[in-house]
Amino acid sequence: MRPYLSLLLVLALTAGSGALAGVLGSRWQAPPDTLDAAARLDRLPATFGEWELIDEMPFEESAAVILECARSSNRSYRHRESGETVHMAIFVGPPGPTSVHTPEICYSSQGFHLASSGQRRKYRPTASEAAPADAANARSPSVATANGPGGAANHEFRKTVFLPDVRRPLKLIVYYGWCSGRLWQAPEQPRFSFGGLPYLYKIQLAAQVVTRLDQEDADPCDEFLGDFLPALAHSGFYSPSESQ
Amino acid sequence: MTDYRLTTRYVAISRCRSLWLCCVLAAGFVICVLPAAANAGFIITDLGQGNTPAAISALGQYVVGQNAAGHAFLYDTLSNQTQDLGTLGGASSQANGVNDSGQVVGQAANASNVTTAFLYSNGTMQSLGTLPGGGSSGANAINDAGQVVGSSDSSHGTDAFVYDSVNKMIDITGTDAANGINASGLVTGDEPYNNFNSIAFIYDSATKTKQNLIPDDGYSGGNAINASGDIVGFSESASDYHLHAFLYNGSYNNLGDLPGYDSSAALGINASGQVVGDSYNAGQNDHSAFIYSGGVMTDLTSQLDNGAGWSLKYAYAISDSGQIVGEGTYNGVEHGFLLTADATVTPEPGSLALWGLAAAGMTLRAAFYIGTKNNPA
Repeated sequence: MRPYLSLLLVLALTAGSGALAGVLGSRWQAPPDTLDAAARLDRLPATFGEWELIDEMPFEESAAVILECARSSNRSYRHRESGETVHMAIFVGPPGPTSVHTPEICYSSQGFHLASSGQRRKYRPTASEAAPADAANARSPSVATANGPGGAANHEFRKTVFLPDVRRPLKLIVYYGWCSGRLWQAPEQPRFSFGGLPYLYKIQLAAQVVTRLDQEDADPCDEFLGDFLPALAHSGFYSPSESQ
Repeated sequence: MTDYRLTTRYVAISRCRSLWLCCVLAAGFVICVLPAAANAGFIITDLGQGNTPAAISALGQYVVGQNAAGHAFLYDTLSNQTQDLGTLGGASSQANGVNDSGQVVGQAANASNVTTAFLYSNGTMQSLGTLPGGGSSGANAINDAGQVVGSSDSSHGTDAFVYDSVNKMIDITGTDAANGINASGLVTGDEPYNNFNSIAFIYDSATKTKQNLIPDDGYSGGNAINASGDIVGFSESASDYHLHAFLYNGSYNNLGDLPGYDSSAALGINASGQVVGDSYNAGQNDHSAFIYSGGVMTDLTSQLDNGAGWSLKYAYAISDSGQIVGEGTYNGVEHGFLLTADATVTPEPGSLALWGLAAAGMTLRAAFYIGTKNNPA
């Protein structure tokens, strides 16, 4: 009898953990809000500050399948004065696959190797963006500590830097974060932090910078986000029905 | 009484055996020595901790790079003198190219810590400026006519340029960087492709025409060009999606990788078509310097005759006489190096000892045989 009990226990644990992962990743859950969330990608601003949209490309089909994304936008912006270009990919889908694929893995197979990872960059929402704390995001302990002066929650992104495998005076700066309400966040364990949500946005910014001696390198992604986040709030991208 | 005919026959036999013995011994010696001659190794010269050479002139007299103090340096291999070239008023500089007249190009910071391309000639460093609307620039190579190539920021992003004293800085529109130029003014470099990748190009500075070098659309880059117009660089393979060193000499040749690595890049080529570069594993920062010569890619570290403690990582450039400059580690610390072909033929001790033993044994045997036949009692 005991061998059967052990077997049943193992089967139950396997099935239970699979079911839990499925629930957290919205594997069987109908996505009632996802269509609306996907439609909001139409509201991404084309121009803001000195940045203007210069190119829009289809998202790589194989990546879209892996990420199970409901919709995506893959575009490039150029700064009118400096000529700097920032590539932005933003997509929405179930939180499971959306939260697990990070650029640390992707770019390491595309002619680059990781130089630094995990640096967090925070952006305080402007007064017009400010709203009460987002209930969904508040589930994440790391998000809960991401408050700026005065207690207002900040947008938070993770910054990684890649160097080309071949010898070139270049570096690739990549920012990424997730959003399920009105705040972009970059928790340590996104799969657990965002598990159970109906959908999740992910944004990934990338810019290539020429390195010149020890001159302080420009960070076009940082400049971009400084202008983009307020413009995104004003564009109506965030759903008014969401608490933030 | 001695049988004359018999004695003559034995003498003939012994002479024949002596000749045979001599042939065997000579062949043994040649075989013994050949491996050393065929693999004529390299003598390594330590250019110092933290000193990074970037280029060597075609005739091999000048080596340039960046020293441990963060300044461009010029090393004269004939006089064995090294010169700190200073800066444009800022903290640092870096030399990337040198011609046979000792003119040096690179990039240097000014007092405002802005970096621009420089030309060092007749003891003076001058800024070459930038393309219109640009803030910074850098020079990568110079030919004997004094034409300089590099990259510069501009009002529409970063572009490659060709500079000469008459026309100043000319924009090669639609490109990223020019990395090499030969005596005929042919230029190779990278132009942007698919966001963060590039495609190798060749540009004729006389006719101002440019074309892509690699026919397919993979990631590639041109690094150097020799007097014949042969170009080396790297390109993505459609079969394994890794980057591999290439040689373009009228047709495209994938040079492959060193054993144990899945990727490579060619960084320099000389007039004889010898290629140097580095082989590595994609996504990892482990590199081994190679030389490609006679259709074979060889790990340079294995070719050192005095290389104890050395691991050669990158071979950046090769002179027409085969001197190589690059970067490696010595006892785990980064050092620059200069390799010179080892002209001496030194047989390996083990092989020489074996040959000596064999020769002694055969001589004894032959002497015993001749003695026995001469005294058949």
